[in-house]
Amino acid sequence: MHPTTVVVNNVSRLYATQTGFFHRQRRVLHALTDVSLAVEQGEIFGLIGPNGAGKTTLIKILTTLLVPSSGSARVLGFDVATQAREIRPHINFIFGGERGLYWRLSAYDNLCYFADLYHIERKVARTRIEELLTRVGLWDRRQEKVEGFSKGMKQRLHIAKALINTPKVLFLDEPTIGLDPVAARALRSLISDIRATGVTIFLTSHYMWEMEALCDRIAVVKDGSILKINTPTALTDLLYGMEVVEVQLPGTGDLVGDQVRQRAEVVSASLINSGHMQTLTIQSNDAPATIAFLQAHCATLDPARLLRRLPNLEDAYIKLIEGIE
Amino acid sequence: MANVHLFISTMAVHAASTIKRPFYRIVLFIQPIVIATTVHMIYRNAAEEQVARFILLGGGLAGIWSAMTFSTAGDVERERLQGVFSVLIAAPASLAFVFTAKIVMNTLLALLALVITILYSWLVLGVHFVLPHPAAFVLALSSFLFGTGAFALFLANIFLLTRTAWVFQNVLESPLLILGGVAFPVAILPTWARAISVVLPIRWGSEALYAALAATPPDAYFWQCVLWTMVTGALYWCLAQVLFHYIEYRVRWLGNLETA
Repeated sequence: MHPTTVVVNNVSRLYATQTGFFHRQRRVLHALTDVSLAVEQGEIFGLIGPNGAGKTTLIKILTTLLVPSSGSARVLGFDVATQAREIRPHINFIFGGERGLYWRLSAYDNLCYFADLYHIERKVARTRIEELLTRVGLWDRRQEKVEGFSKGMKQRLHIAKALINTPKVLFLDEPTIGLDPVAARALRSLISDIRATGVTIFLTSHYMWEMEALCDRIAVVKDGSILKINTPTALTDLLYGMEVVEVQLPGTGDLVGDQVRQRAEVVSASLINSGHMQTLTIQSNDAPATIAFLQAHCATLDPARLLRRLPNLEDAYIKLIEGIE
Repeated sequence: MANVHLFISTMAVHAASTIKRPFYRIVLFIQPIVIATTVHMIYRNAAEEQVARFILLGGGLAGIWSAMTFSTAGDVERERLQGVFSVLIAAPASLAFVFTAKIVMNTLLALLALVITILYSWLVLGVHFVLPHPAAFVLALSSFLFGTGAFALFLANIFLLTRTAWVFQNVLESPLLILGGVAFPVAILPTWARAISVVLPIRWGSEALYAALAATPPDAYFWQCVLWTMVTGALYWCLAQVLFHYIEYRVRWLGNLETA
């Protein structure tokens, strides 16, 4: 039995904004509403949801950057609102993007300063910085200023920064955003390695296959509430008995999509534009019937551009987010 | 030992980030020259002793104050923009400690304004800087730096609460220079303005410096000014330390760690 590292009990978070100058109007935005969850030590726990769902707000609360409006959250047994000082030495985080670094300093000097902020001894810090910069492939560029780094290099430096204090809990908010496929794969491998050392990892990403491959459990968040928490396999099983038909069409996807949605066996159909082609993804309870319909009613259908497969996490996510019964 | 390292590295990071900003360089290197020239034009027909005092100290002290407020507000603004403010808040190091190190570095950098004013006044305006009582001057300057530094630390708290720190910096700069008696004596201000200036270390610090430049040996008023600079400075320093804890929680409550 692993000890519980993160406990969130009925956490809500409101943001108050004001508009207008003479007629000021106060607006309250509910970023999180009654969120509860528990994460065990060594687990990779994922948060997925649309933009603005509240994922980053929850991570900011757990990293002590925000306090909850109501409810309570504990990390490593300490309350995030009142015992932030006890939590901070043992956690670290990455918020996706290029910010959070001193651009006018070198990569090495950035890490030296972050090590000082975590009260890490100079001797230990020097060894750790060399190890981390080597691990993220920036050791040879360590003396270059961060302002000259590419987006991917900055993201890799963020990873080194997040590991500087050998955290017990690591919060990664879209860590692979902006990374090229090779660097993203290396980061996923690194995340697995970190987990093997017993570190608890909180992860958010819009790449569903990435979440499916890495996470032990995933919470699906929408409009500040958790819709479902389960393993990726169990979430995918929500579509048990269903199959997915994907078809690429040259510009006729809208029309075909509208027709397909009328069919009884079709649960949902979504369309993505990619260049001159449109990809229609259909969740169907009777894939052969759906394919037969497409073949009969779509003159431009190329059989080579038709794929029938079992549902994955992304399909389950779409089902949950779109609220399809 | 870890705190010593953090203090030094914060100062180094701060200097590296600050001095590279073109606008800060203008405030530090150009503004003292502009102020010294302006004050010289105002006082050129006055007694020689008064000219030297107001040009040299007025320009220099205004430069120090501008560089300190500009830099303090600029740091908060820039760190919000760069997203490093969140990193500083979430780190185990005390935010008050980190900001104290930044303001000490600001103070050291701002001293350059005084040096530039003295050199410019001597070489270009032909105003000689005579120190009749060097020890008193050093004491007065040290108390001025401590007092204004403590006040800047206090202001940093206000800047932390808002996403538009630069507005406060611009609004506060000139009134505080006037209330501080930097370019002309506080005695000519209205009574209500003089009452406000009583709680400003910059006012007592600048008066101590002017008194230290007088030909007569330091008198009771000099010592009173030094004492008041230290007392008001200490009060602002203590207030800043207490406020930092409250402000940090407030910023986490408001959720304005980053620029909107």
